Amino acid sequence: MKRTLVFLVVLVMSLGLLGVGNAEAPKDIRLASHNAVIEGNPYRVRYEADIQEAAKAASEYGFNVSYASFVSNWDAATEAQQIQNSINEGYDIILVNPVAPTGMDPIIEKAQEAGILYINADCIYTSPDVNILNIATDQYYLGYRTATYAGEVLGKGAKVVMMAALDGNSANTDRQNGFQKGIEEQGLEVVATGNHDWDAAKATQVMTEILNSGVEFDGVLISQCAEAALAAFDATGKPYPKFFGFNDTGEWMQRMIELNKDERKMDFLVLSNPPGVGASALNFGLNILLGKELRDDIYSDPSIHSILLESKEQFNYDTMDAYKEKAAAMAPGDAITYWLTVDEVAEQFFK
Amino acid sequence: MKMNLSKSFSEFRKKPAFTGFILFMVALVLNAAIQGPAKFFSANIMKTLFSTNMSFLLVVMAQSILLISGTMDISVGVQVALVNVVTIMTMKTWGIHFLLACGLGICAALLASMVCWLLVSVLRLPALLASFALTYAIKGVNVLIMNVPQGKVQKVFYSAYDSLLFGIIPAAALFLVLALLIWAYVSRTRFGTNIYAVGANPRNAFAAGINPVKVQFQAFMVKGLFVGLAGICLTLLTASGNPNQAEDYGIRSLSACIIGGLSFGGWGSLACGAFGGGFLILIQNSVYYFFNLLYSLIPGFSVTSYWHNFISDIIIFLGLLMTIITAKGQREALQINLQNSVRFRRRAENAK
Amino acid sequence: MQNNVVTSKSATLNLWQKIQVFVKRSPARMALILAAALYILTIAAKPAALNITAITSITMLTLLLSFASAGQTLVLIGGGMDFTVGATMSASAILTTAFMNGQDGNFMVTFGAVMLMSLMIGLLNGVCSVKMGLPPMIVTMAISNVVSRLQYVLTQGSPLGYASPTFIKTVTSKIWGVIPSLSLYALILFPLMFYILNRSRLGRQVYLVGNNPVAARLNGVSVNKVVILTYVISALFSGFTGMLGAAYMQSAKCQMFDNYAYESLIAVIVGGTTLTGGVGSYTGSIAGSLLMVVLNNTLTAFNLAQPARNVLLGLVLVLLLILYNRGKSVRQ
Repeated sequence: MKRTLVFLVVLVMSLGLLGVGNAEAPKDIRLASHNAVIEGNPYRVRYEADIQEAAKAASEYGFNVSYASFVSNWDAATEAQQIQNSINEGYDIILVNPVAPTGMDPIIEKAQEAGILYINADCIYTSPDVNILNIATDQYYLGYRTATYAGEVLGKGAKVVMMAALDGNSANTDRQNGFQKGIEEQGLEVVATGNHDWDAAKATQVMTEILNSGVEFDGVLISQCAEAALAAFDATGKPYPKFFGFNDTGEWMQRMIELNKDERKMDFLVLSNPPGVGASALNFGLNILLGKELRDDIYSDPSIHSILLESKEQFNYDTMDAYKEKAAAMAPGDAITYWLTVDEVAEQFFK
Repeated sequence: MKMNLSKSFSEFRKKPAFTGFILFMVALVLNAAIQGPAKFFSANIMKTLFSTNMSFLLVVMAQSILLISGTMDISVGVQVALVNVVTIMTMKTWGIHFLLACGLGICAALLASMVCWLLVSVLRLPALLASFALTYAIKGVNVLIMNVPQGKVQKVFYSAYDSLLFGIIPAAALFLVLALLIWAYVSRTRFGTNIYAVGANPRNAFAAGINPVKVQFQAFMVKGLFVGLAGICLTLLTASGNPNQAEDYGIRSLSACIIGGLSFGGWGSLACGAFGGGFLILIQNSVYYFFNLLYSLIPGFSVTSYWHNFISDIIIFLGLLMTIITAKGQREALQINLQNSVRFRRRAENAK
Repeated sequence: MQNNVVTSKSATLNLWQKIQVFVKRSPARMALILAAALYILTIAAKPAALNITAITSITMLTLLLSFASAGQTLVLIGGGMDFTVGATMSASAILTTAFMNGQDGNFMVTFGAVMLMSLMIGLLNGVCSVKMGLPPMIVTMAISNVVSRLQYVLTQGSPLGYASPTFIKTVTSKIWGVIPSLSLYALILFPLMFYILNRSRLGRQVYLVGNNPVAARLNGVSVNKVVILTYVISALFSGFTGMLGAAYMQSAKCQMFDNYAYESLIAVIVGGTTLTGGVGSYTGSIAGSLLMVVLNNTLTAFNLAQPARNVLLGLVLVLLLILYNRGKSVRQ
């Protein structure tokens, strides 16, 4: 009898221990999202909103992710200070959309020494001396595709305006490399250039100045902010060019569909540059916290561990019917967004 | 004993740095309260505060020298970036040693300061607009020297910058000590008194036999040295080069000096700048931690970054308002003193 | 023989002195000449730059800048400085698009709201500058920071709405295809400013206060009231210009017109008003605005890369400052 009792007690205890081991006690994860800018930039606003959504969705996997956001307003020194503070505060994941592609090696090393998971998202960090994950959308493709499509509709030798974004920013550098390759292959001639720094007011101003200089062109290749540049045409009353691209905001999609609804007035390109790339990056981090291992063949540049996610949605005049409903439902300042869930990331990139 | 204490306190009250000191203490107490004194005064936090903010603090002290001498230079921010890009690019292109590159960076800062001196002292252009024009020029030069952010500093240097000496003193604080030593030496010379006379009233100073142009040249050179040190701190902090940074140091250093109790010419001390800069730094820090606290206290609390900036700017504006409580009366008293002393000295020299 | 030498020497001196006198006598005239010279240079190098769009654009931007500079002129003559021009313009642009919401019929409400906001900013500027003993530059800069931040907090970074279609038409349509209808607003604003500066009692008092505040006070002028009034008028002008700017751009963004703070300051200085006060004219500011706009246009037309453009802009600004704003030497 006594032996049975002992046996029963041991059985219950071990079952209890097993239960404790298997219990879904949600793990508390503190996430710090560091961004270069949020104010007045719809892309970055959506970027942060998507990360918050993904943080909430993480509860399905047993994570209770708390979210804190810090902005450096394009100042590298402020960014360094804020990340140092986050390291001192003991956050579990530090997700950074950096101001510059270099300059953070000391801080990254400190974070990793402190056992914090440091992930770089959206604008690639190019230093080969640190080992961090670089999750970004394939910017080279965005530039290359726009220039290629422009060449297809305008023909060889056509004159174009090339408006880049912010010099020195790695996303812009990659995109411009894609633009240049496409321009070369298609035989386009660049007659005017400018930078809009992802600022709508500046895009309108620079486009106005280019129009004022009287130069003739057939198409405009622009690194987002297309509707702001188009506003310059409206303000000066000049006729639209034959091609304008690319952008991915609701306003751009609505205007292009509206403009071309009866006939082909102007060729355009909508290419998605999803702000949800930050959320995807978070889900990479959660997979790592779950203990999964990354595969070896997923990097586009192994020296900096960069993983490029493809741009999934795009349309032009020929394919726009399928997107009419979606475009109408979007807010003007919002962009097409999507991200990879924890499972999708695990499936595609982890062992 | 008690009378001595109250006497030295009332004497301290008359000093220009008093205003800035009060504001600085308020910000310090606020920070300690939000973070908790044990945590705030810990070696780690102090180390972070010093290493990330030393370049801004040095720039503020540089600006205070100019303000005392009666001018200003809002291009100090892009000059810091200039030092940074020169240091990195000379190392990269010519493969020279890091310390030598730092020396070249300081020379670049001195050169830029000399150009500003030419515009403001020799050509007598209005300092605000001339240095604003110079900002554009230096910004362009920075990008011409280094077109994309790049470069690297060896680990031994940047980890030395970010370390603790004897376990409690941040290495970055050595830069502050160096700057204070330089100023202590320079202010003991003739230059130390001349700078106040020139700043207060250049005409009277000239009549008393002091050459304002020469004195301002010396002021610009010392300022250039401080800016060079600030650039080195920034280079050590980021361990790389970036032509587009620190531009707002120019305007912010001006605000910091005014908050610290300085005015345009003839009044104040380096301590004013140090306290004013410290105030701005601590306010920025405390806003970060204040919202951090709210995030942890209120679950699900998330407010956009717009509020961070709004609150810090309101506090800075209030800080400016605070300076009127003590500074105005002090300034007037000192101006009268200064005029008397220059007149007295001239009379003494004429009597010889 | 000696006489001949003396005569020829004085003849050369006279020519150089003549040039100096010509330059210094009328800064407004000089600014116009420089603007014309720059534009001719542009057209000579790039003939395509002479087109209707460019001329219309230059006219529009010059008019906007001269409206914004009107208040700045008054404040500078009075011995102060107004850094909130840009922030006030941006804030009023956001208020305009929010109140009008793309529909006609709300003009008076919008106008009232914008004027009220500008009045508050102007009063804050004036009272702080006068009562605080702090340099107006720093005070107005701090206030402009707060106004800018307020824009983000209230709109959450994404301002909504558009200016009303009729209002937009009154600003952007073109008379005879070239002259922007914005110039009709100039028919009201320019005479108003000229009256305030040159004919009204306030204008005379502003000149007195800027020249010598102590003497002005002894003459019975209420210096504080005059200075506060200059800041209020400046804010009101900036507010209305912000409304026009919102119609020009059709929608508003936070901090959209912030660079007008520095631009208006430079335009006014280049037009002959000094930073020390007591000297200046509105004609000069209008000419200065034209010069700044043409300068920007020239730099773009030459399609320079951004860094080269910055360096050139800095050099030209320094040259302009050398022409007009050199302080007196201590030896004089």
